[in-house]
Amino acid sequence: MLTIKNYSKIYKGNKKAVDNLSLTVEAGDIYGFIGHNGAGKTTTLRAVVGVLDFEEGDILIDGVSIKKDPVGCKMKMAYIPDNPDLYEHLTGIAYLNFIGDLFKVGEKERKERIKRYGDIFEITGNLGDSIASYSHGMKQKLAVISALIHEPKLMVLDEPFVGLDPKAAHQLKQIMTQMCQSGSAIFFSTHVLEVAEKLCNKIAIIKGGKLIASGTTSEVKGNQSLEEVFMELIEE
Amino acid sequence: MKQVWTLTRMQLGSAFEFLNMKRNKNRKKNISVTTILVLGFLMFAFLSGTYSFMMGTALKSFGELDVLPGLFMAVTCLMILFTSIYKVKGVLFGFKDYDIVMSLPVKSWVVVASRLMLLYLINMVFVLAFLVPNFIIYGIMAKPSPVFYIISMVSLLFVPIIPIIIASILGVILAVISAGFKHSNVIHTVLMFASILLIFVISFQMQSENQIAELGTLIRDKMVEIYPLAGWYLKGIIEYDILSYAAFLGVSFLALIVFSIVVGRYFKWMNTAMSAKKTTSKYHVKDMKSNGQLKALIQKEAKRYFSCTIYVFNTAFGLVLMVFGAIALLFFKSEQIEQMLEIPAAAGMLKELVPYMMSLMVGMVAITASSISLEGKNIWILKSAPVATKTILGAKIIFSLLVTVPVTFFTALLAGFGLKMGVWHLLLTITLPIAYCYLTAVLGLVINLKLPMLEWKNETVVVKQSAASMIGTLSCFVTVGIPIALLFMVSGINVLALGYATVVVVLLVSGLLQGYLNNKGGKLIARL
Repeated sequence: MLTIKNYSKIYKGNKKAVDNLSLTVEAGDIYGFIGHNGAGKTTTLRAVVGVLDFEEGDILIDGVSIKKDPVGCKMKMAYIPDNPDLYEHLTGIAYLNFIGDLFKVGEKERKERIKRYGDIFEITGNLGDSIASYSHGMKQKLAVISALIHEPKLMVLDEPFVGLDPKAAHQLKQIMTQMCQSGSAIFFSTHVLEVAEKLCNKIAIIKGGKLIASGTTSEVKGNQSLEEVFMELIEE
Repeated sequence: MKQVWTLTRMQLGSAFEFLNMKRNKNRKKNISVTTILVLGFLMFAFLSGTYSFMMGTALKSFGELDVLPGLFMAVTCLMILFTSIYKVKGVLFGFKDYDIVMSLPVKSWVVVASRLMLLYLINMVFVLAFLVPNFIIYGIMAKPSPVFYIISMVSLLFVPIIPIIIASILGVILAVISAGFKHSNVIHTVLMFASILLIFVISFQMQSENQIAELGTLIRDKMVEIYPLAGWYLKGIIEYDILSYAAFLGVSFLALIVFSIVVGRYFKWMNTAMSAKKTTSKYHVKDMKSNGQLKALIQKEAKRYFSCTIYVFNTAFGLVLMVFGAIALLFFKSEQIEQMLEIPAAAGMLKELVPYMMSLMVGMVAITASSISLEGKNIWILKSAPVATKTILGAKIIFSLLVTVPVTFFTALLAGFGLKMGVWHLLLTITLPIAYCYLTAVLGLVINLKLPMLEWKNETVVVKQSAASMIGTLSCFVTVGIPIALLFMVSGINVLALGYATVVVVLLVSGLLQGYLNNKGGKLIARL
């Protein structure tokens, strides 16, 4: 579903934020991407979804390069950034409708999905209000619903649980599991290692822009906890 | 005071970040932006000097030269009032970093004073460009004692204070009234337009006398009548009346302190009232209507545009003036209008000038010059959406045209009817400004893509002070200025031929810019 081939990102001033990173996320995977602050997680996720331009390497979505067919690739994906910066001048429902239009979601499916996810995240009643009046958690819920509205084949999430209340976080984990069971894939970053350990079937650890470990969760952590492995690896 | 200055410096840093040589990596771009802004400042100062000389010469012949500083002070105060009233929401109240600033261990009045200081410093640039050349010209013509230069320069620092305070009070009232409505931003914009037009009409009525000297004296006298500080100011700098001068400085300073303390006391309440959002929490999912990508993006642009009062105000004012001008043509004879415009060289040329004047006003509608920057932190939404860059940029251009073209067309018909134009004149009055509508839209977008400003805390900074918006407006003035200059400088030029040639050139340049956007737009957006 997602293949990252020798991806590097160099910012102005020759700082290499990500260095020759390669990994593959297959259909059905919940792939956790972990690393300390500034390790290169967000830089990688932003490049995957076509928000960040890059010069070295390639990123393939379902076998197609994001550089060659960005629109086709983006149609299969959904992205939730680490901070839910949404159009505050729109109401929640206007924003969801806008995203539905951009992803060409039919009217019937749109209505059904907004109702379903709105109810799950207990935000349906607030959809008529301006996003500017939402709390951080409500914005995060809206961002999650907007990502689910077109049933993406690949979901790319940057710290998706930040700001969500425990019930909403639980619901999101369930949805992520269901999506992967039905053949989609999820690639997400998190600092909550317990969540990654329980939820993910594959994990990659990044340090200073370089991938230092990747594979199935059991391969990466062995007999230790993920936290112990992570601490050992980043302190080496 | 140290805290006030520390907070002001912090706000200045974020407001003018695009000029920060140390922090911005692209030095070349920084230097060229700074050069353009300095040139703009100098051009403005030159214009003020030229007008001062023209007015001064007329006033001197009537023995009324002493009216000159008062007249320019009156115009400065009105301009500050005009331009500050809609900055209040966003700079003084309802600013994005309100939570961070208010959590700092400083008193509320310090925050208020620092925000006022920001408004003051922004206005000071205008005051310097407008009044310093005026003082120099007055100095040359009246040959006052050297004391004049010292006291007038000191008084410059105090001129903007009271107009800013009055604008703040009006701005707060308008914002609080509109906050309670569902479409608060639309109400706010309408109220803002209404009050500015009211000020405009009142000041226009003040000018409806004929003789320039009478006009100058009248404005000065009215100003002194309405605004006693202007009288003290004039007595101070012209007659060197120490008491009046001290009263002007003292009252201005005192007003600043009192306003800061009073507003500081109710600052939290006012901010809450102004940022109040109407919520119902009773929404039920209804049937949805889907749109194509382009239509959805255009609708989004429209909602963004009308949600930001300062964006509408800054860009649509030219259109409003254009419509009012055209309506005036229906009620006044062209000779009367020419007299009101006070451009001697334009006598008998109103019909020929109307297409260019309309183009000039359309050039002020630089909607696209801020539209990329206003995406701000939301830019990820468009960049991660499965939409071709051409569609994203196309929506921004189409929206700009939807705002400008119908109004321009309607205005052209009114002007054509009012001035009893022939077919070819009318056609030029329609096509030339509409061609400029297109140029303004594509040029603004190119400039904004080249000079984006996505990290902002205050929309006012993007719309009023960003390099892209200033250069966008300035470059449209220049493009309209070239044919106007030809019209006046080349004697015996065929006006219609020049007009239609301009239409062709403008469309050609716009087409080239559109081609550039189609080819390079993707790369420019990817770099954001």
